[in-house]
Amino acid sequence: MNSIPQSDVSGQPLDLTSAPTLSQTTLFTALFRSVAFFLVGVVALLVAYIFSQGFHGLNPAFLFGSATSQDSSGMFDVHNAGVFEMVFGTILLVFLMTVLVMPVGVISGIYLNEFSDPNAWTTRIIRSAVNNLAGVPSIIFGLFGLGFFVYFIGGSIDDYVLHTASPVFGKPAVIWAALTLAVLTMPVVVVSTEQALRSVPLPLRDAALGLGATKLQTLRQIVLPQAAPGIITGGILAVSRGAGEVAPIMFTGAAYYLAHLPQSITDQFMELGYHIYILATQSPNVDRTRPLLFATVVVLLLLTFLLNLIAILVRAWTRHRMRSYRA
Amino acid sequence: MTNALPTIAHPPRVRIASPPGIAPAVNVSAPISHQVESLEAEPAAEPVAVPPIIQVQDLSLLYGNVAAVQHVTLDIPRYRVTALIGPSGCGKSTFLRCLNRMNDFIPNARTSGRVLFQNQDIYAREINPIRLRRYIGMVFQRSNPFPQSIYDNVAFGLRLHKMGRAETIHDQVELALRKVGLWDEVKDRLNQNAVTLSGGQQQRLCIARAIAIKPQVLLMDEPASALDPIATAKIEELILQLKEDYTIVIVTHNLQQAGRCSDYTAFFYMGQLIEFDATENIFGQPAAEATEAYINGRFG
Ligand SMILES: Nc1ncnc2c1ncn2[C@@H]1O[C@H](COP(=O)(O)OP(=O)(O)O)[C@@H](O)[C@H]1O
Ligand SMILES: [Mg+2]
Repeated sequence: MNSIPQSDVSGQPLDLTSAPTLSQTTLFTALFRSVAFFLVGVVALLVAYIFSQGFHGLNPAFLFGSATSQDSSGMFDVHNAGVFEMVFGTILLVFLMTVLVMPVGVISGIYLNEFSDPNAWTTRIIRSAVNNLAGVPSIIFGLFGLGFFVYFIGGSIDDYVLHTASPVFGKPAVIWAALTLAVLTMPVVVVSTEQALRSVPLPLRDAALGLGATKLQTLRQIVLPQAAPGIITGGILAVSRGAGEVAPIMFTGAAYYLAHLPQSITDQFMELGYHIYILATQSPNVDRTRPLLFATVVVLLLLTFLLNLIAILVRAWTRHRMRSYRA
Repeated sequence: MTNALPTIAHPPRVRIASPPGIAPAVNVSAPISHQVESLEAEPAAEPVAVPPIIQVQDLSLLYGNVAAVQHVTLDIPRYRVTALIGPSGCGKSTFLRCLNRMNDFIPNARTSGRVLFQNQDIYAREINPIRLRRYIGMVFQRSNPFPQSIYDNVAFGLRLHKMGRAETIHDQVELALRKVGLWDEVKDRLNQNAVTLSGGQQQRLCIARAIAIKPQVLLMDEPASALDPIATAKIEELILQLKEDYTIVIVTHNLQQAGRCSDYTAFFYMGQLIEFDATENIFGQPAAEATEAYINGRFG
């Protein structure tokens, strides 16, 4: 090798080796990893349990069959019912919710990040309102939706616009349930929008402004296209949060049983989450209901997954469109 | 190459006031024929010889209650390169951004004094800063191309200000890219995303984007400080070419660069303009002690 004596400044021989002991890093990596993997275990267990329980129930008659089956006495025959109406109702609800929450949430986020004075008291009030909204338990939203949307707004429309004695708007309906869910998921959309806008680099804004673009032109042509995937992520989170929520819709629009699909936004609707709640709590024959119950859970999980997948594809498409200039 | 390009021998009078009410003062500054000047070996040494395009009068800027620019008075000569030098934090960028009102976007920045661009006070009430920035363009320290195609980057300002139909926009894009010497490098990939270009190419693209809308003044804030020496040399060469058509104000912390590229140099120190003179004088016989100390690397 070389002949230079290997020693440190004080003349001691250099020792760069160490005994092969189990280092702290290795130990903690293993520890942290096993804790993280515990989560995987929980999820796997949950999914395995649900699928094993619900597997028998998953047949075409159940998946695509109508839920409007009645027994000889004209009662709702849950045991022979399918879930078609509930799947339809869930999709309709989530769709209406998204249509309602996105414009308001995104505009609020844009206002907060782009136009508001961060130190003004109005801004602080808006911000704390959004934050507090995020912490409210969902059953409270249900009660609020019933009191405010159904009775107050709906009732007022009936009384002062339609002048009807029998309620049209002033009763639980899919539109009120969707509005209630929209309020529930609003904070997610506002916060995601703000974050997405904040992450657009300042030099890009400067470039546009320096070329003589107005603030609005800069926002529309440079900032929003950059922020779009992040904003859509907010929509995805809202869908995840909203789909399957039972408490907010049980007073405001979900029906125990309906003989037909909702015909208008003022109709009630059947919904998977609420149906699961009914199957779990109202059944006279628990053992017979169990496979149905879990099959319904599987359908709800798959549907939520599917809705998320659609949103993720939309986001990927937006990103791709932004980068499609690359050859 | 530059011979083929149209030059602004007689710059049009610019109106930057938004309401069409009061007619602004007549532009008295005589247009110069730059071809004659570019034949001269040395630019005129005394600042008064060249008519100014921007006159800064007692300009101050406060961030909150901290002064970043203090009582600066300075004439920026037309079709010349004026360099702003000084230790970092002395207010060069802030001063530069005052010239096209980019500081409007900083909530706590307050300006006083006057900045006359072609004899109009750009801080006057009737001035629309949007119109102003169309005539006083800016190039930033870090290249900031939009994450769009190369073509769309250059066309951005043209479309923004509705400067022509699709065909003429294409010609203007080509012209701007040619002026910055980028055309041959990118003509086959105009539809590629601009962020795929190298750092030096990106910065030249940003310059092309700025000059595509034919501004009269180009403000450059350390345009080469993030680039390697070869890319830097290209930018410097470009600056010398561009001054035939534009007035350039460039912030630089690179004294050699100021010496190579600029006709006039302003030395800033702690928010104040210490000295402003022909570059050769600033580097040859600076009047102020602080300037001399800075030039000789004794501080900053
Ligand atoms: N947005 C801002 N808010 C408050 N102070 C600022 C801001 N921008 C710059 N400053 C301060 O103003 C002074 C001048 O900054 P700048 O103009 O960037 O200097 P230079 O470009 O010469 O390095 C510095 O002290 C800096 O900290
Ligand atoms: Mg600076």
